[in-house]
Amino acid sequence: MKLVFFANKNLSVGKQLWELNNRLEPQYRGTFHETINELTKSLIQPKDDLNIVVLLATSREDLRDLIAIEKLLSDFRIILILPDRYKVTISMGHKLYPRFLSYADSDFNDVALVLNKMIENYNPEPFLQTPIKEAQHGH
Amino acid sequence: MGTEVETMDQAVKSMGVREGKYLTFNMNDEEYGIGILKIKEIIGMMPITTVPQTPEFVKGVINLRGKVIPVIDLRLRFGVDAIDYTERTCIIVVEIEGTAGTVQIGIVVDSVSEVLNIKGEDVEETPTFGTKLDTDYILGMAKMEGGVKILLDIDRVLSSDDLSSLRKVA
Repeated sequence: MKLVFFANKNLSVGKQLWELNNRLEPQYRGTFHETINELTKSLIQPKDDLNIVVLLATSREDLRDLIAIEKLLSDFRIILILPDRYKVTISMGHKLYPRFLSYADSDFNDVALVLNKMIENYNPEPFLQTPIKEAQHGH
Repeated sequence: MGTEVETMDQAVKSMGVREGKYLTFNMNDEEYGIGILKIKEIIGMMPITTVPQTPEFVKGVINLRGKVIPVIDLRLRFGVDAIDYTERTCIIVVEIEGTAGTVQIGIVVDSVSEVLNIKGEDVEETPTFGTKLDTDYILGMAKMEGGVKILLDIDRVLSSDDLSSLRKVA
């Protein structure tokens, strides 16, 4: 699994995402990028079966920059965090075909839940193993 | 006067088209660039399955996460001597638009350098070299740090015949 974050850690919203990334199990933690150029470099690095990108757009300008590299995001499941709730912004955001939309003024619990679900679906617990072992010990 | 204005318009238009982010790479000690939006992925060298009866520059096919992608060696395509692959050798997976649609191909290059923002005013037309040399596959020459980077029009590096034979391979 490849996980990529685009957010500015110097902003409180960006810091929240940074903390969210650090809360993940080490093997699932993503790379953090603060500029479009850094993000671009990361997007073209080897991909995996599941590729997730969490994008924090703190302005419409950010969103425009992201739309300009939309093609590079096509293999990624996008979680997009928009700067505001204006219709124009939301409509711009949909150009990226995000799997999930959130807003910069949220507490990101929604983002954490969605991210968790995506990872869980990618790597479900080997649910058969435990019952079989338990069954063997039990008999 | 009208013609001059049209020429200026065309120049400004082509400047805008060529401006943008490019992935630069090295081949035979020269720097080349491909528009970043053409790039799907950069991968390290991996086993390439050779396919019989293909042109020399077609190295074969790779299995990229279940997808079979033809791979070409840019050195051989450009008539440059082949070298042994090193740990810096990469395959750049690009999306090429041909007459019959889009096709993904891998391009073997010596090494990948960086992603550069190139301004329209820094890109010059390809020189004519005073001969009938075909330079259609060159988008322009980017003047950078005292040197020149050759910007490739990756859709034109391979002819339509080449592309249709690659489609068959994949």
